Amino acid sequence: MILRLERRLAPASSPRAIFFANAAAIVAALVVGGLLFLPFHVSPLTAYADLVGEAFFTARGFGYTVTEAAPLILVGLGTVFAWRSGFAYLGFQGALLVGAVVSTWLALQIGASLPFALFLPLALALSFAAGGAWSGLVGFARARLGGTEVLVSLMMNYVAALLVQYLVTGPMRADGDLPQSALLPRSTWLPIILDGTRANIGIFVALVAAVIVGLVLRGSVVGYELIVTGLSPRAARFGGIDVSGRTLLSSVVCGGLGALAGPVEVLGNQHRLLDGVGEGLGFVGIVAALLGKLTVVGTVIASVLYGGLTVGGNAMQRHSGLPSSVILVIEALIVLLVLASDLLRSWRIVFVVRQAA
Amino acid sequence: MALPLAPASAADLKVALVLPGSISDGGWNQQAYEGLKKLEAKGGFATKLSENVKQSDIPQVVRGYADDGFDLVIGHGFQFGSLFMEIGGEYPKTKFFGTTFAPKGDVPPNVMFVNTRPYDVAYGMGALAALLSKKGGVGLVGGGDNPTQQNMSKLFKIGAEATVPGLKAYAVVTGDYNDASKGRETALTMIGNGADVITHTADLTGIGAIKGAAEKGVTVMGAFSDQTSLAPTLMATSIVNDNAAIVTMVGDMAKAGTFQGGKEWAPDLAAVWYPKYKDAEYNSAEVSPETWAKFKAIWADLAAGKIDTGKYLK
Repeated sequence: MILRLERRLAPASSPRAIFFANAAAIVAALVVGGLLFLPFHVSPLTAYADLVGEAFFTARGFGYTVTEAAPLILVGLGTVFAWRSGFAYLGFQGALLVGAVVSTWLALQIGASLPFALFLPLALALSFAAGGAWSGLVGFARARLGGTEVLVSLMMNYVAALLVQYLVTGPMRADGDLPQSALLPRSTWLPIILDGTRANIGIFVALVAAVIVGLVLRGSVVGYELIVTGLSPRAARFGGIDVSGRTLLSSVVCGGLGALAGPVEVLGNQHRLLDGVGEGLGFVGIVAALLGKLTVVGTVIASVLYGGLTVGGNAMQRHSGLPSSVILVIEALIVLLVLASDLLRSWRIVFVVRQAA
Repeated sequence: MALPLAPASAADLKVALVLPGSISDGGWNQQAYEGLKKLEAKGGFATKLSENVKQSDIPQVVRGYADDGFDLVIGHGFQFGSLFMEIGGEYPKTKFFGTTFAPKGDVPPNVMFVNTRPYDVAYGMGALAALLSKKGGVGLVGGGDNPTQQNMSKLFKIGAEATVPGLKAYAVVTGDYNDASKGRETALTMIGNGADVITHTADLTGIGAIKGAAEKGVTVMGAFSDQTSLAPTLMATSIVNDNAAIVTMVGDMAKAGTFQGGKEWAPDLAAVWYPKYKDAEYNSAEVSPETWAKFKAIWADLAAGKIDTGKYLK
C-alpha cells in the first residue's frame, strides 16, 4: 500500500474542511514535537495536559492567555488590513513601539490628572494617529515613488527600536534607574476585568477593533475597493478605483492598528517604557494573521491559541523542566504545519493498494 | 518523647530558579544554574528551572511557581526587583530572592535582595590596575548602561587614583554587554591615551576589550570568571564572581530558617568574589609578590568595610 496525493476537483473550502485540516496540522505538530520530550524522560501526554490545562482551563492561566493575545490580535488585524489590500507591510514592531512611546508620554504628562474614561480614548487615538503617520510614510513612498514597501517597512522597525533606546537612556529616563521611563501613574493602568487574574481590558480594545475592521472590510464600499485593489490593482484601476489613494489609506490604517498594541502592552502589562518592550509581538502578530488565513475571525482565534501556547509553554517548562528550546520548536512546528495544511484543501491523500498481477 | 520534627519526605525545600537568559551562556545565567545543580546534589532540595524567560513573561512565570506552592523562588537579575516588591505580599508562604540591589521602598518580609558588593570590587580592581601600571594609565570597559555599571566605573576610577596619586584612570560604560568590537575599540582608545592596564565589567564587550588590549601587548585583568585563556601571558588575574555560591547560600539560608526577608543581604566579599589565575591567585610573571601583597591589604580593608565605598556614591 502506498500514499499518493491526488488533486481535488475543487478546493475544499467548507468551514468543516478548514477546521479539520487545521486540527490535523496541530495534532501532527504535537505528535512530532512529543518525540522531543522522550530524551528528557517526560511523558508528552502529561506535558500537553499541562500546556492546555494551564492556558485554557484555569482562570489565572486564561487571564494570561487573553493578555498575551490582545496585542497579537491588533497586529494581526493590521496585517489583514494591509495584506488583503496588497500592501505587504512588515513594520508592525515599529508601529507598536511608536504607539508605546506616545501612550507612555501621554500617561506621564497628563495621565494622573485625567479620568481614565477620558485618558484611554485619548491614548488610543493618539497612538493610532502616530502609528498611522509612521506607516503612512512607507505607504506614501510606495504610492508616489513606487518601489517595495517590504524592505522599507522592515528597516523602519530598527529606526523605532533605536528611537525607544534613545528615549529611555535620554529624555524619558527615570533618574538613577535602569534605562526605562518612570512607572506610569496607577490611574492609567488598564483595569483588570477578572479578579485574581491579570486579564485587563486590553482584550476588549482588541475585540472592538476586530469588529470594526470586519465591518469595514466586508460591509463597506471602501473595504470592497481595498480588497479589489489587493486582488488585482490593474482590474481595480480599470474599474475606476483610486488605487494609490486606497494603498495610502491601507498603509495608514494598518500601522494605526499595529500601534494600538503599544498602549495595550505598556498600559496593561509593563506600566513603563523600557528597551525591548513588546519584543517580537510585531512579528508574531503577522504569523497569527497568516495562521488565521488573513481573515478577522481567524486572526482572533489564532492569536488566542498562540497566546495560550506561550502561557501553556511556560507552565510546561515549570512543571516538567523541559528546556525552553523544545517549546519554541513545538510552536514553530504548529505554525509550519498549519500553513502547510492548505495543501490538504486542494489535494487529497489516497491510499493505493497494489493489486497482485 | 521526641518533639515532632518536620516530616522527612515533605522536608525537601522546593526551589525554583528563573533565568532571563540561557543556562549555557558561559556566564551570569550558567553560574546560577550550576548553583542550583549543587543544591539539588546536596539533597533536601527539589529544584525547578525556567530559562530564557522574556521580560514580559517574567511576572507570569514567577507567579506560576508561587501559586504551585514553591518555598523559594530565585529571580536572577535586575528584572526581578520591582516585581518581587509588588507581589511579595500576595504570597506570604513563598520566599523570593532577587539577585539584585533592593529597589527603593519597603521590602516585604518574605523578599530578600543582595548587595554582592560590586562597588567594593570595582574599587579593588582599580587599585590593582593602578599598582600594575608602569606608565600611569589604566582603563575599564563597562557594559550595559545601568546604575550598577555607572557606579562601578566611578569607583574603579576612585580606587585607581586613590591608590596611585597622579595616575589617570579611564572608565567607559559602553552601553552594551554583547558587542565585542565596541569593547575592542574602547580598549584601543584607552591605550592610545596612555593606559597600559585594561580590565572590564562587561560580558562579550569585555572579552573584546581584553583581546584588543592583548594585541597591543598591555597587561589585562579578567572579570566574572577565570579568563586566563583569553590572554595567558598578559593576564595578571581575573576577579571571579561566584554566582553559584550565591544561589547555594540562599538555598541553605531558606532551609535553615536564616533567610533575611525584608532586607538587602550582604554576603562576605571573599565568598562571592575572588582573584584567580589558573590554579593560583595571580600570574607571577606579570605581578610581583610585593605588588600582590599591597593589593591584598586593600582587598582585606574593602572586605572588612574599612574602605567605605558607599560614601562616594551619595
